[in-house]
Amino acid sequence: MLGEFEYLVISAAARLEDKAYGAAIREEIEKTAKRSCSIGALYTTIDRLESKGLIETWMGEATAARGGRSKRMIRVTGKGAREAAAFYQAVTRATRGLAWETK
Amino acid sequence: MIRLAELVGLALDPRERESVLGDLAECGTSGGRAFFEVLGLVARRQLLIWTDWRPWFGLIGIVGISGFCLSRLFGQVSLNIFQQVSAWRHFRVHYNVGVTSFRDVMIYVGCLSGAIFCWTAVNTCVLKAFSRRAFWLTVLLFYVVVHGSAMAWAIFSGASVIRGNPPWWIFLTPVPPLHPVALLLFVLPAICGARRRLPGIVPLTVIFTIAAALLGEYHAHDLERLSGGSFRPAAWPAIIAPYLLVSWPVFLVKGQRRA
Repeated sequence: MLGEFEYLVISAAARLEDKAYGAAIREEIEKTAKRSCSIGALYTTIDRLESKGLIETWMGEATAARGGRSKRMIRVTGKGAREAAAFYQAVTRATRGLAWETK
Repeated sequence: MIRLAELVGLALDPRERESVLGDLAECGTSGGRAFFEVLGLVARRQLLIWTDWRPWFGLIGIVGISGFCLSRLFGQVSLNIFQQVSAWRHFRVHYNVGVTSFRDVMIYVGCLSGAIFCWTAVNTCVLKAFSRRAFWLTVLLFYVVVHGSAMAWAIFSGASVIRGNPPWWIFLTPVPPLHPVALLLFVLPAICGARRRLPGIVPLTVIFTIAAALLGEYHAHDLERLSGGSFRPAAWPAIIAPYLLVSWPVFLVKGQRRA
Protein backbone atom coordinates (compact mmCIF):
# COMPACT_ATOMS: atom_id res chain seq x y z
CA MET A 1 0.00 0.00 0.00
CA LEU A 2 1.12 3.56 -0.72
CA GLY A 3 2.50 5.89 1.92
CA GLU A 4 0.89 9.25 2.56
CA PHE A 5 3.54 11.28 0.72
CA GLU A 6 3.61 8.80 -2.16
CA TYR A 7 -0.14 9.29 -2.52
CA LEU A 8 0.29 13.09 -2.59
CA VAL A 9 2.95 12.83 -5.33
CA ILE A 10 0.82 10.48 -7.48
CA SER A 11 -2.25 12.67 -7.01
CA ALA A 12 -0.33 15.83 -7.97
CA ALA A 13 1.18 14.10 -11.02
CA ALA A 14 -2.23 12.82 -12.12
CA ARG A 15 -3.80 16.28 -11.70
CA LEU A 16 -1.01 18.00 -13.69
CA GLU A 17 -1.24 15.39 -16.47
CA ASP A 18 1.30 16.19 -19.22
CA LYS A 19 2.70 19.15 -17.25
CA ALA A 20 3.86 17.01 -14.34
CA TYR A 21 7.53 17.49 -13.41
CA GLY A 22 9.50 18.15 -10.21
CA ALA A 23 8.88 21.87 -9.61
CA ALA A 24 5.22 21.73 -10.68
CA ILE A 25 4.48 18.70 -8.46
CA ARG A 26 6.19 20.39 -5.54
CA GLU A 27 4.08 23.52 -6.00
CA GLU A 28 0.91 21.44 -6.34
CA ILE A 29 1.61 19.53 -3.13
CA GLU A 30 2.36 22.73 -1.20
CA LYS A 31 -0.87 24.31 -2.53
CA THR A 32 -3.26 21.39 -2.01
CA ALA A 33 -1.84 19.70 1.09
CA LYS A 34 -0.69 22.98 2.67
CA ARG A 35 2.63 21.46 3.73
CA SER A 36 6.18 22.14 2.72
CA CYS A 37 7.85 19.70 0.34
CA SER A 38 11.63 19.41 0.17
CA ILE A 39 13.42 18.53 -3.05
CA GLY A 40 15.12 15.64 -1.25
CA ALA A 41 11.83 14.06 -0.14
CA LEU A 42 10.24 14.63 -3.55
CA TYR A 43 13.01 13.13 -5.68
CA THR A 44 13.64 10.11 -3.45
CA THR A 45 9.87 9.43 -3.50
CA ILE A 46 9.76 9.80 -7.29
CA ASP A 47 12.58 7.25 -7.60
CA ARG A 48 10.82 4.84 -5.25
CA LEU A 49 7.53 5.13 -7.13
CA GLU A 50 9.33 4.59 -10.45
CA SER A 51 11.10 1.49 -9.13
CA LYS A 52 7.68 0.12 -8.04
CA GLY A 53 6.34 0.77 -11.54
CA LEU A 54 3.73 3.29 -10.30
CA ILE A 55 5.05 6.19 -12.40
CA GLU A 56 7.21 6.66 -15.50
CA THR A 57 9.78 9.43 -15.92
CA TRP A 58 11.72 10.84 -18.85
CA MET A 59 13.76 13.95 -19.53
CA GLY A 60 11.75 16.78 -21.07
CA GLU A 61 12.69 20.03 -22.74
CA ALA A 62 14.97 22.71 -21.29
CA THR A 63 13.66 26.25 -20.79
CA ALA A 64 15.32 29.61 -20.19
CA ALA A 65 13.46 29.96 -16.85
CA ARG A 66 15.29 26.85 -15.68
CA GLY A 67 18.70 28.15 -16.69
CA GLY A 68 18.66 25.95 -19.79
CA ARG A 69 18.21 22.78 -17.77
CA SER A 70 15.86 19.91 -18.66
CA LYS A 71 12.73 18.86 -16.75
CA ARG A 72 12.17 15.36 -15.44
CA MET A 73 8.66 14.66 -16.70
CA ILE A 74 6.40 12.27 -14.81
CA ARG A 75 3.40 10.16 -15.86
CA VAL A 76 1.25 7.96 -13.60
CA THR A 77 1.00 4.36 -14.86
CA GLY A 78 -2.16 2.23 -14.75
CA LYS A 79 -0.75 0.36 -11.78
CA GLY A 80 -0.04 3.70 -10.04
CA ALA A 81 -3.62 4.87 -10.59
CA ARG A 82 -4.98 1.61 -9.15
CA GLU A 83 -2.71 1.84 -6.10
CA ALA A 84 -3.75 5.47 -5.51
CA ALA A 85 -7.45 4.51 -5.80
CA ALA A 86 -6.94 1.65 -3.31
CA PHE A 87 -5.22 4.04 -0.87
CA TYR A 88 -8.02 6.60 -1.18
CA GLN A 89 -10.72 3.96 -0.63
CA ALA A 90 -8.90 2.59 2.41
CA VAL A 91 -8.59 6.06 3.95
CA THR A 92 -12.26 6.80 3.15
CA ARG A 93 -13.40 3.55 4.77
CA ALA A 94 -11.19 4.11 7.78
CA THR A 95 -12.56 7.64 8.23
CA ARG A 96 -16.27 6.81 7.80
CA GLY A 97 -18.33 7.73 10.87
CA LEU A 98 -15.52 9.54 12.63
CA ALA A 99 -15.90 13.00 14.11
CA TRP A 100 -13.56 14.71 11.63
CA GLU A 101 -15.08 13.12 8.51
CA THR A 102 -17.18 16.14 7.47
CA LYS A 103 -14.82 18.88 8.67
CA MET B 1 25.77 30.15 -2.75
CA ILE B 2 23.98 28.89 -5.91
CA ARG B 3 27.44 27.88 -7.13
CA LEU B 4 27.83 25.97 -3.89
CA ALA B 5 24.54 24.16 -4.64
CA GLU B 6 25.90 23.25 -8.08
CA LEU B 7 29.09 22.00 -6.45
CA VAL B 8 27.18 19.81 -3.99
CA GLY B 9 25.00 18.67 -6.91
CA LEU B 10 28.06 17.01 -8.47
CA ALA B 11 27.44 14.13 -6.05
CA LEU B 12 24.15 13.43 -7.88
CA ASP B 13 23.59 11.57 -11.15
CA PRO B 14 23.89 13.94 -14.14
CA ARG B 15 20.19 13.54 -15.05
CA GLU B 16 19.03 14.17 -11.52
CA ARG B 17 21.39 17.12 -11.10
CA GLU B 18 20.01 18.67 -14.27
CA SER B 19 16.38 18.39 -13.18
CA VAL B 20 16.94 19.38 -9.53
CA LEU B 21 19.00 22.50 -10.30
CA GLY B 22 16.50 23.40 -13.04
CA ASP B 23 13.59 23.06 -10.59
CA LEU B 24 15.35 25.25 -8.02
CA ALA B 25 16.11 27.88 -10.67
CA GLU B 26 12.51 27.83 -11.91
CA CYS B 27 11.14 28.24 -8.36
CA GLY B 28 13.56 31.12 -7.77
CA THR B 29 14.93 29.41 -4.67
CA SER B 30 17.55 31.60 -3.01
CA GLY B 31 21.21 30.57 -2.92
CA GLY B 32 21.34 29.50 0.72
CA ARG B 33 18.10 27.53 0.57
CA ALA B 34 19.08 25.95 -2.75
CA PHE B 35 22.32 24.76 -1.17
CA PHE B 36 20.53 23.11 1.75
CA GLU B 37 17.87 21.60 -0.54
CA VAL B 38 20.53 19.93 -2.71
CA LEU B 39 22.54 18.94 0.35
CA GLY B 40 19.43 17.30 1.80
CA LEU B 41 18.90 15.29 -1.39
CA VAL B 42 22.57 14.23 -1.50
CA ALA B 43 22.38 13.13 2.16
CA ARG B 44 19.23 11.08 1.46
CA ARG B 45 20.87 9.49 -1.59
CA GLN B 46 23.98 8.58 0.40
CA LEU B 47 21.87 7.06 3.19
CA LEU B 48 19.90 5.03 0.65
CA ILE B 49 23.13 3.67 -0.85
CA TRP B 50 24.08 2.19 2.51
CA THR B 51 20.84 0.20 2.80
CA ASP B 52 22.37 -2.20 0.24
CA TRP B 53 24.95 -4.85 1.23
CA ARG B 54 27.43 -4.08 -1.56
CA PRO B 55 28.89 -0.80 -0.24
CA TRP B 56 29.33 -2.56 3.11
CA PHE B 57 31.36 -5.26 1.37
CA GLY B 58 33.55 -2.51 -0.09
CA LEU B 59 33.86 -0.74 3.25
CA ILE B 60 34.54 -3.77 5.44
CA GLY B 61 36.31 -6.01 2.90
CA ILE B 62 38.38 -3.63 0.82
CA VAL B 63 38.77 -0.57 3.09
CA GLY B 64 38.90 -2.48 6.37
CA ILE B 65 40.55 -5.85 5.77
CA SER B 66 42.58 -5.27 2.60
CA GLY B 67 43.37 -1.63 3.50
CA PHE B 68 44.74 -2.66 6.87
CA CYS B 69 46.90 -5.44 5.34
CA LEU B 70 48.14 -3.11 2.58
CA SER B 71 49.03 -0.43 5.13
CA ARG B 72 51.53 -2.83 6.71
CA LEU B 73 53.19 -3.47 3.33
CA PHE B 74 53.05 0.23 2.57
CA GLY B 75 54.78 1.05 5.86
CA GLN B 76 57.51 -1.50 5.17
CA VAL B 77 58.23 -0.24 1.67
CA SER B 78 58.21 3.40 2.89
CA LEU B 79 60.69 2.49 5.65
CA ASN B 80 63.03 0.65 3.27
CA ILE B 81 62.98 3.43 0.68
CA PHE B 82 63.52 6.01 3.43
CA GLN B 83 66.54 4.08 4.79
CA GLN B 84 68.16 3.68 1.37
CA VAL B 85 67.52 7.28 0.28
CA SER B 86 68.77 8.71 3.61
CA ALA B 87 71.92 6.56 3.62
CA TRP B 88 72.71 7.49 0.02
CA ARG B 89 71.99 11.19 0.50
CA HIS B 90 74.05 11.62 3.66
CA PHE B 91 76.86 9.05 3.29
CA ARG B 92 76.75 7.95 -0.39
CA VAL B 93 76.38 4.31 0.69
CA HIS B 94 73.64 1.69 0.55
CA TYR B 95 71.84 1.08 3.82
CA ASN B 96 72.97 -2.34 4.97
CA VAL B 97 72.71 -3.82 8.44
CA GLY B 98 75.10 -6.64 7.58
CA VAL B 99 72.47 -9.38 7.50
CA THR B 100 70.71 -8.50 4.26
CA SER B 101 72.57 -7.64 1.08
CA PHE B 102 71.59 -4.61 -0.99
CA ARG B 103 70.46 -6.93 -3.79
CA ASP B 104 68.11 -8.75 -1.40
CA VAL B 105 66.74 -5.45 -0.15
CA MET B 106 66.03 -4.39 -3.73
CA ILE B 107 64.22 -7.69 -4.47
CA TYR B 108 62.27 -7.26 -1.25
CA VAL B 109 61.29 -3.63 -2.02
CA GLY B 110 60.54 -4.52 -5.65
CA CYS B 111 58.22 -7.39 -4.69
CA LEU B 112 56.52 -5.24 -2.06
CA SER B 113 56.07 -2.28 -4.41
CA GLY B 114 54.74 -4.51 -7.18
CA ALA B 115 52.36 -6.26 -4.80
CA ILE B 116 51.07 -2.94 -3.41
CA PHE B 117 50.64 -1.52 -6.94
CA CYS B 118 48.78 -4.59 -8.20
CA TRP B 119 46.58 -5.09 -5.12
CA THR B 120 45.65 -1.40 -5.07
CA ALA B 121 44.55 -1.59 -8.72
CA VAL B 122 42.57 -4.79 -8.16
CA ASN B 123 41.02 -3.59 -4.90
CA THR B 124 39.99 -0.23 -6.37
CA CYS B 125 38.33 -2.01 -9.28
CA VAL B 126 36.34 -4.21 -6.88
CA LEU B 127 35.60 -1.18 -4.68
CA LYS B 128 34.17 0.74 -7.64
CA ALA B 129 32.04 -2.21 -8.73
CA PHE B 130 30.58 -2.72 -5.27
CA SER B 131 30.42 0.80 -3.82
CA ARG B 132 28.95 2.39 -6.96
CA ARG B 133 27.70 5.86 -5.92
CA ALA B 134 29.59 5.66 -2.62
CA PHE B 135 32.85 5.08 -4.55
CA TRP B 136 34.40 8.50 -3.89
CA LEU B 137 33.75 8.24 -0.16
CA THR B 138 35.04 4.67 0.13
CA VAL B 139 38.13 5.21 -2.04
CA LEU B 140 39.04 8.22 0.12
CA LEU B 141 38.65 6.04 3.22
CA PHE B 142 40.76 3.35 1.51
CA TYR B 143 43.54 5.92 1.00
CA VAL B 144 43.22 7.14 4.59
CA VAL B 145 43.47 3.58 5.96
CA VAL B 146 46.35 2.49 3.69
CA HIS B 147 48.45 5.63 3.75
CA GLY B 148 47.30 7.05 7.10
CA SER B 149 48.08 4.00 9.18
CA ALA B 150 51.29 3.39 7.18
CA MET B 151 52.34 6.97 7.93
CA ALA B 152 51.58 6.51 11.64
CA TRP B 153 53.52 3.23 11.53
CA ALA B 154 56.47 5.00 9.85
CA ILE B 155 56.43 7.84 12.39
CA PHE B 156 56.43 5.50 15.37
CA SER B 157 59.16 3.31 13.85
CA GLY B 158 61.42 6.32 13.41
CA ALA B 159 61.26 6.51 9.62
CA SER B 160 59.19 9.65 9.88
CA VAL B 161 59.59 12.57 7.50
CA ILE B 162 58.52 14.81 10.39
CA ARG B 163 61.56 16.00 12.28
CA GLY B 164 61.54 15.78 16.07
CA ASN B 165 58.41 14.77 17.96
CA PRO B 166 55.38 14.73 15.67
CA PRO B 167 52.70 17.22 16.70
CA TRP B 168 49.61 15.54 18.18
CA TRP B 169 47.30 16.97 15.49
CA ILE B 170 49.07 15.02 12.74
CA PHE B 171 47.11 11.92 13.84
CA LEU B 172 43.82 13.81 13.65
CA THR B 173 44.38 15.02 10.07
CA PRO B 174 41.35 13.66 8.19
CA VAL B 175 43.25 12.99 4.96
CA PRO B 176 46.99 12.23 5.10
CA PRO B 177 49.11 14.45 2.83
CA LEU B 178 50.11 13.05 -0.55
CA HIS B 179 53.61 11.61 -0.40
CA PRO B 180 55.60 10.71 -3.59
CA VAL B 181 55.62 7.04 -2.55
CA ALA B 182 51.86 7.18 -2.01
CA LEU B 183 51.41 8.83 -5.39
CA LEU B 184 53.32 6.08 -7.22
CA LEU B 185 52.12 3.08 -5.26
CA PHE B 186 48.55 4.07 -4.44
CA VAL B 187 47.09 6.91 -6.50
CA LEU B 188 48.26 5.72 -9.93
CA PRO B 189 47.08 2.11 -9.56
CA ALA B 190 43.88 3.38 -7.93
CA ILE B 191 43.15 5.40 -11.08
CA CYS B 192 43.93 2.34 -13.24
CA GLY B 193 41.66 0.19 -11.04
CA ALA B 194 38.82 2.71 -11.24
CA ARG B 195 39.19 2.67 -15.05
CA ARG B 196 39.07 -1.15 -14.80
CA ARG B 197 42.34 -1.87 -16.57
CA LEU B 198 45.90 -0.66 -16.85
CA PRO B 199 45.68 1.67 -19.84
CA GLY B 200 46.13 -0.40 -22.99
CA ILE B 201 48.23 -3.06 -21.30
CA VAL B 202 46.84 -5.84 -19.15
CA PRO B 203 43.39 -6.81 -17.80
CA LEU B 204 42.97 -6.75 -14.04
CA THR B 205 42.51 -10.52 -13.79
CA VAL B 206 46.13 -10.88 -14.92
CA ILE B 207 47.14 -8.15 -12.44
CA PHE B 208 45.34 -10.15 -9.75
CA THR B 209 47.48 -13.20 -10.50
CA ILE B 210 50.68 -11.14 -10.59
CA ALA B 211 49.72 -9.52 -7.28
CA ALA B 212 49.22 -12.89 -5.63
CA ALA B 213 52.54 -14.19 -7.01
CA LEU B 214 54.44 -11.07 -5.89
CA LEU B 215 52.98 -11.23 -2.42
CA GLY B 216 53.91 -14.90 -2.17
CA GLU B 217 57.42 -14.13 -3.39
CA TYR B 218 57.75 -11.21 -0.97
CA HIS B 219 56.58 -13.36 1.90
CA ALA B 220 58.93 -16.21 0.97
CA HIS B 221 61.79 -13.73 0.72
CA ASP B 222 60.83 -11.98 3.96
CA LEU B 223 60.55 -15.22 5.94
CA GLU B 224 63.78 -16.54 4.47
CA ARG B 225 65.56 -13.33 5.44
CA LEU B 226 64.11 -13.10 8.94
CA SER B 227 64.47 -16.79 9.77
CA GLY B 228 68.03 -17.09 8.45
CA GLY B 229 67.02 -19.60 5.77
CA SER B 230 64.63 -21.81 7.70
CA PHE B 231 61.71 -21.10 5.36
CA ARG B 232 58.18 -22.03 6.48
CA PRO B 233 56.10 -22.34 3.32
CA ALA B 234 52.89 -23.29 5.18
CA ALA B 235 52.49 -19.76 6.54
CA TRP B 236 52.16 -17.75 3.36
CA PRO B 237 48.53 -18.70 2.54
CA ALA B 238 47.53 -17.04 5.79
CA ILE B 239 49.19 -13.82 4.63
CA ILE B 240 47.64 -13.89 1.19
CA ALA B 241 44.16 -15.09 2.28
CA PRO B 242 42.70 -11.67 3.28
CA TYR B 243 43.56 -10.23 -0.15
CA LEU B 244 42.14 -13.20 -2.04
CA LEU B 245 39.04 -13.20 0.15
CA VAL B 246 38.02 -9.65 -0.78
CA SER B 247 39.55 -9.30 -4.26
CA TRP B 248 38.29 -12.38 -6.13
CA PRO B 249 35.14 -10.53 -7.38
CA VAL B 250 37.46 -8.77 -9.84
CA PHE B 251 36.85 -11.84 -12.04
CA LEU B 252 33.14 -10.96 -12.09
CA VAL B 253 33.60 -7.27 -12.94
CA LYS B 254 32.29 -6.58 -16.42
CA GLY B 255 34.43 -4.58 -18.81
CA GLN B 256 37.82 -5.43 -17.40
CA ARG B 257 38.40 -7.67 -20.39
CA ARG B 258 37.44 -4.87 -22.79
CA ALA B 259 39.81 -4.70 -25.75
